[in-house]
Amino acid sequence: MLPRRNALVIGQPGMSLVAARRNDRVRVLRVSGRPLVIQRLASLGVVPGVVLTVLKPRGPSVVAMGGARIAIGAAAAEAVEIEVV
Amino acid sequence: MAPPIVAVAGCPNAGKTSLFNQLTGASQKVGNWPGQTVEQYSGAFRVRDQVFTAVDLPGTYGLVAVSTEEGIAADYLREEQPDLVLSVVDASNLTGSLHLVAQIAEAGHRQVVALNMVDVAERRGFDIDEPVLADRLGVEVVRTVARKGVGIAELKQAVARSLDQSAQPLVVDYGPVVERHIGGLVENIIETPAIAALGSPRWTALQLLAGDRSLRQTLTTIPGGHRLLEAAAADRDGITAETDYDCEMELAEHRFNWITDLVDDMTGAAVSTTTWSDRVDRVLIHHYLGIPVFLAVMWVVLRVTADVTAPYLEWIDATVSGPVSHWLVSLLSAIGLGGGWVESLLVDGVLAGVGGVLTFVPVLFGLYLMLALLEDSGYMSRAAAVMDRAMRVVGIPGKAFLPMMVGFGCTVPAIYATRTLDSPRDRMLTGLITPFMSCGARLPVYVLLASIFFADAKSMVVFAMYVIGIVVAVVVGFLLSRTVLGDEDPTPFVMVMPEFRMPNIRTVWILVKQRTLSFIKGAGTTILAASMVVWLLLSIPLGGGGRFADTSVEESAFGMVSKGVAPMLRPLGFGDWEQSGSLVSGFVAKEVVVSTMAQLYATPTEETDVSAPSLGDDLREIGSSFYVAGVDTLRTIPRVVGLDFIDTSANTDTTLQTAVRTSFEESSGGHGALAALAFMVFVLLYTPCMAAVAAFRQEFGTKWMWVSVIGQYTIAGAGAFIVFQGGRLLGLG
Repeated sequence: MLPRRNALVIGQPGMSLVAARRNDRVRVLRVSGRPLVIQRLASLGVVPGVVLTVLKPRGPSVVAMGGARIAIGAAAAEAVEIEVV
Repeated sequence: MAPPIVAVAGCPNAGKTSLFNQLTGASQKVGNWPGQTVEQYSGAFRVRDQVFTAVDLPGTYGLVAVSTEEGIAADYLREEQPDLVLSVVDASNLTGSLHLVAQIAEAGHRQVVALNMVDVAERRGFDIDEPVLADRLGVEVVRTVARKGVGIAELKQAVARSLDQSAQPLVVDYGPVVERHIGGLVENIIETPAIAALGSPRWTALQLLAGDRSLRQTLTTIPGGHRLLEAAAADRDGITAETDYDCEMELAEHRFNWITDLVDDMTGAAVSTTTWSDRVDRVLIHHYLGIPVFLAVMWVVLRVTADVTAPYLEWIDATVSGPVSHWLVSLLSAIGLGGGWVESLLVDGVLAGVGGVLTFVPVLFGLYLMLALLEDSGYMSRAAAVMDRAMRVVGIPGKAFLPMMVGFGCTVPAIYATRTLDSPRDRMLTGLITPFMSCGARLPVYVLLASIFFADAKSMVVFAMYVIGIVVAVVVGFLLSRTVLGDEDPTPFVMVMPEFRMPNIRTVWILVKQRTLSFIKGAGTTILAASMVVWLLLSIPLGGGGRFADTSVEESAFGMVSKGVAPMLRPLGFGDWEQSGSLVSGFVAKEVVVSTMAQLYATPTEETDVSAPSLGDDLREIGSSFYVAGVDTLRTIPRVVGLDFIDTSANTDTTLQTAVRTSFEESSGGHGALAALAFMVFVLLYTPCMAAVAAFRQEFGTKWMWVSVIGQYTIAGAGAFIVFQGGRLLGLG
């Protein structure tokens, strides 16, 4: 079972995906933003608890999720809160 | 009894189309989705004595649709309730693919899973234990490599076996808070039989909580639906308040927890290695290199489309206007219909129209081939990712670039291609700016005028037209996104990038064939009809002299219309009725602008009836010229990477050239080159063709069609005015 976001320290926000470095392994903590962003990211599996590998941090961000490569534009990437694992 | 229906579902790039092609072979049929213009492909396949109908659903990542195209799959499954859903899963990306599979199982559809691309997964070191998946979902799972036809026979057997199995909806645990709200909604749903009939009540409740737009729409038409919608809205707010989180994310998180557990059980610890595809991506989507690489790729695409296909274009044109016309004329005189209006209608109306359609086939074929190669290799999504950053600056989403690219070939499919965009706002914006991308039909106009007035800088002038088109599209997009469509930002870019691979010949061929045929059927009918309308206008004598189908152009109804329009175009430098006449017919279709000019300037068409060639001669000539076209094509390929954009040695009718030159010099008071440039800009910017306007209306409604049409004429008029009057003020030309 994956850790739930509730287990995180409240009031200490994680960093955004655009702040990660290349080859960082990161865990998604929270996804916020407009409903369309949330729907799109949710349908691809970018949800809290998932561990991603950052292939390219910005412009656009590219992350590896298992075998998939997902490109995320700046506006959406900023809405993905992560922690480096 | 009608054959059972098997809906083929899957994520984009999971190999769904390859699998569908393998399954149905040549038996495919094209139709439209109910109430939609997106094409629906269906086909038949057979397992022993039983025949099945397979329907190819548009690729989707989940059953809560984000884009219009994805919505079709969700609606189809809910409304048509197919006998079985064949889900295609990308074995190298299980987590991403299983979201859709889980939702289909939750909705209670009978399902068979094709675990596709197992070869790629194995290469990447995934060892997949598919019985775990079969057991967890209660369905049959078959390993396939659709591109190579591996596992297709087993898959068919599995489909036949599963057809009379009962389907038990999958139940995923969404946690105490969400489950409580689901329970409440389910009770509510069961109370109204019409709503309970929509499918598994638990699934309907989940869809409501996820905010599915089309289900909401369906419910507004059912008595009691409004009450349920209000309850669902309250539940959504309740979940958000209780979990301090967005309701959709809450649902997705639990579903993905379930999926991640399943994937862990299927493959053991996840391996993530950097592939060669990732290394290629470092260059292709590099911060600085990405855009130059993209431009280089587009350059090659345009060259192939414009140059490599040109010899075939000439071949078709020569064949239709030469031998085929002769044959038709001979045939008509043999059956006693020669010389009259029937011959005129068939030769000048129908055959000219058919020729007009056919000459476009090589160009579009070339464009569709290049685009299909780019799509199937995986480059297209990289291009979108690279362009997103550049285009967002001016308020246009990156995904708009695909319709805009298609617009270089033909505006009609480009308008339909806007369906892949995420929000209505993005679609509308893209639909409004795509017509400014210079389509293939406008090219001959530039080539003709540029070779007359700018013989030394022909390629540059033609290229400048493409650039002006892009600049106008970008400026209009920028202004629209700041004004009319300014309430919303463009939808943030999120896209899966498939692994790079060799394009599959079969997939590419089917794609190219389908798109080309759909152009011939769709735009072709319009062009043919338009050609006949123009013929009719040309045949009606209004100016006194002549009989029906035997009048001078100037005195025909067409001449009268053109003369009525001409004064308005005088400030733009091209106020002759012949010029306005070619623009009038250009409203119908741009491919007839040049031929109308030829007709109106009454350039004597070579009466080659000196000695009618025999059928054998004709056939030999057609054959050898086709061979020559092939050789010419091969010759152009090395030049594709060179810099001469258009073959400058193209020989146009010199009589026509002289007539056009004289006419432009006269209409502009001695500023022929400026007037020609203004004319080209006008052709670039006004409505592409009747078919494009019709497509736009179908997609965006009558009101926006008028906005688009009036906008295009205003911009075209202003553009031509600026070029002509501005040029004169600056003392150019």
